[in-house]
Amino acid sequence: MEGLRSYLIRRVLIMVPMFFGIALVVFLLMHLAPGDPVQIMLGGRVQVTEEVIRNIRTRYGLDQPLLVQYWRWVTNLLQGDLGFSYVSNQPVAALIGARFWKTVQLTLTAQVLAVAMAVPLGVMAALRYRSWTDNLLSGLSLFGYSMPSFWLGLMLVWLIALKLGLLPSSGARTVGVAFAAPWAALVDQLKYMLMPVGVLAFNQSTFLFRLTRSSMLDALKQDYVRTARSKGLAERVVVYRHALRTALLPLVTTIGLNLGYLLSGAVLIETVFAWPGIGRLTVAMALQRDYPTLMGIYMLLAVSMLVATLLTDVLYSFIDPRVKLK
Amino acid sequence: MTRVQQWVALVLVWALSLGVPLAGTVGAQEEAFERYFFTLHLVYRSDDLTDDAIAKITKQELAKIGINVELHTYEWGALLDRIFFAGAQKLFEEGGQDMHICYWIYDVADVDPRSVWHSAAISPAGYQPYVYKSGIVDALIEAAEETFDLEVRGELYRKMQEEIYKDHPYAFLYIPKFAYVLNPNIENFEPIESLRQLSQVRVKGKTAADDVQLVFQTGAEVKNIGPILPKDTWTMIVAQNLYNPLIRLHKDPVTGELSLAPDVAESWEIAPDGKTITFRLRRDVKFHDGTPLTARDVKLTIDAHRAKDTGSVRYSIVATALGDLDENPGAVEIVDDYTVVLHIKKPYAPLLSTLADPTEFGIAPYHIWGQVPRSEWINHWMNTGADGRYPIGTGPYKIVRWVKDEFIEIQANTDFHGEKAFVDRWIFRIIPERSTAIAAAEKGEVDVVHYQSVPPADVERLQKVPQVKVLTYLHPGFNGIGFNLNHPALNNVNVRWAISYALPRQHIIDNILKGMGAPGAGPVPVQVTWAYNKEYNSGTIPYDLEKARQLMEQAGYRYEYLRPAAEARGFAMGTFIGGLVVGAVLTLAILIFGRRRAPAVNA
Repeated sequence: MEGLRSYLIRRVLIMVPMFFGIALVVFLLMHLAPGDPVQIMLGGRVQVTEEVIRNIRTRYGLDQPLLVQYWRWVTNLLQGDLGFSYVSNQPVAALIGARFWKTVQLTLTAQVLAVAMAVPLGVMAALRYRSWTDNLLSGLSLFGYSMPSFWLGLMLVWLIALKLGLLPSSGARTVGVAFAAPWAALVDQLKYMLMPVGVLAFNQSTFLFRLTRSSMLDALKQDYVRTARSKGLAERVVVYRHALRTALLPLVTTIGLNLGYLLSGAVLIETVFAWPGIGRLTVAMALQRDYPTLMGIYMLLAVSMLVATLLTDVLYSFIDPRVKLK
Repeated sequence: MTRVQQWVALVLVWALSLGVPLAGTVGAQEEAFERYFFTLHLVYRSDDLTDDAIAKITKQELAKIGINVELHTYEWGALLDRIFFAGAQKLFEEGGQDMHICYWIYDVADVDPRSVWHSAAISPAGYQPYVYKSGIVDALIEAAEETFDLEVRGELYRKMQEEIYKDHPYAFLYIPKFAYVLNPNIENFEPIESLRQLSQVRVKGKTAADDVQLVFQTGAEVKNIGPILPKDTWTMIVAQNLYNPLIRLHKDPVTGELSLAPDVAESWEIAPDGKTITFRLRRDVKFHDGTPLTARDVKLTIDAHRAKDTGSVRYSIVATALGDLDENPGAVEIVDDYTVVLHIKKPYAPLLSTLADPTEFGIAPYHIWGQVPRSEWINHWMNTGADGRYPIGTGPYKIVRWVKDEFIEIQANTDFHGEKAFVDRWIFRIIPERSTAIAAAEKGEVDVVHYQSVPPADVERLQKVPQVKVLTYLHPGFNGIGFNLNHPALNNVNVRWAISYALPRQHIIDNILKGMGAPGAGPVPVQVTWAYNKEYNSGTIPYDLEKARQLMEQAGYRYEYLRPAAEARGFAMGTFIGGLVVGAVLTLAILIFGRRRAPAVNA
């Protein structure tokens, strides 16, 4: 455990310059993008004089040199101030915070579901290699993997919501209805979650399934599996304790990275299903050139990626006895 | 070689040696020209399929009059940059544009030609990317601004349209047609936003006593929901229900004529010398919190628009007419609680129609914002809805619930001074994806889909769906191709007219827009009946390549240069003779060598 602690300290220290590097890249990218935020703010309105534009520029500090703007932003960032969105007139932290839980609700559920579906099915397919079960599952996963998620989403809206009328088409709750019982509101929310979560989970699980299957096939061919079998261990023990544990390793990496990515929102799914999460905020703000909010979102993505990779590495040391963190 | 083989070989040889030159001559006639007079770079928006189709047809048609068009698409922000800001006045090679596809969406409240056609508005100072300088148009615009008399203004604006039409800095193509998708039971829904009053919407089969709730789809979260501050479309459609302006735009239900009508002000009077406007306010107008609306609220609102620190986009209009607040503090005078006098610095016609905007010129409550510095308003709860406190206005509805990024619910104001709302609650629900929004309407989850979420290409299909009603309408504005007059070729009015004649407007309307557009586009919207010029607009320009070529000739471009007729004939003759010679030589060769070889085989 001593080794782990010093490893953790070192990793966190490395993350500091990485954080600044990312911050600089994010900042520069945002400011090099074409389009003037003041003009976007005005929405192509006529009747605006140079004077009004100058006033707006001064108010938001957009008349300052780039370096000054960067410095101001980073120092505020370190104090936990993500800045102020000039499009929605709110602190960026509040803007992101309100949508963050909606995104977590969507993506985390989908990720858990995806793993729960993909891993057992992947193992099953590997154990029945080249059987019709394997072929069916592999074919299905290839189909799902190559299908754009927004298209699948739209098709589901058309089929399930419009033609069959089973579920609401979009949104996160029934508007204009007051639910008396708390469970009724919860059930209502679940109905709205079902389709976006389903599409996201299916999309995620196809890749995880293929990964599980191939790394399981790989593990089953290893010498230690043959050894375990020759020792006369039960097949169940061989598969689940020996083979699966090794096969899980690439899976952990993928899930970890995926999670970091998903926490910053599922842009397409959130847009198609009108889900009020971070992904939709990103689209809306990108279209309106709201630098502070976009930079806030990208920093959130960067930090969640950094944390996710760290967690993945730590998790490795528990799963894989060969990995020792020093 | 047998006799049959010889015959086959001869037929083949002659077919090829005469067929090739013949095909070449016919082919050359189909292809327009071998050379072009010059190349123009047309820039347009990358995510607009209609613009893309128009750009392609422009390229195809202009090739027929000897102009090469290169197409370039840009993302919206980058396109604006090229047309109006960094690239303003520049040619394409210098980072600007030679021609652009750009549309203008207007308000019907008034005509505002200054910002698009006056030479003082040439970008980047304003929104005139054509670098069009016409002393006559400038003078007409200025004269029309200096009087409140609609008849005089209308006459001046019609003359202005004629001038712009003749100078042709912009090839007007069509008036855009848009569509709302509605619940089939909805009645009395006005599609033009600045004329709409949701309180007047009726629902078939319901009475005023029934509890009626409708859902209105919007595309994005609102911003600046408070009065005075600048608003986008999505905010305006909510905000216009919360506030009341002094006066309001009224459309005659029979004739469609537009006029100004009383709202918070029961009457107004312009002094004969045009130096003062006196507004008499209604005495029964109350804010949502019960406070009566008086002259101090009106003064606060008008003064805010002429103060630099408010961030109002109406500043230039109000400050031109009444002077900047710092320089001319007394321009808005409170005579008594229900009388306000505006002291006009310079008669400036757009002032009145600006006052009629129910969103940015909705009267703000003095008892809430009077004590708050103007620069703080933007972050005040009246504007952001923070802490669950919603904006206070005088309108027929008030906000009762607002879940960010999901919906805003407004409820009928029972104390409203005017006609009470028929629909008790409207819920503005955000559905950004167009297909999802339309599916929600087909399913009955949404009662109104905003026109910006209805792709014109879907209209034909939706008209056959019984669950919804499609309301199409002409939107105030115009679409077309703008020229950069700094381009040496485009600087010639004949070239601009030649291009305009080469554009197949009716084909575009029928086949590209599928009827979602109409002829008649010009610098004044067709809806503004008092100023629209029926003679000089896109509807009077036929598709006429012959005329276009004549105009190019008049501009000094000679078509002989592109494919000199004599040279072309000579070329055809040359290839034909060449074919004859080749055929003859090969015939001789076949006859001679074919005959010689035959005995050798037999021996």
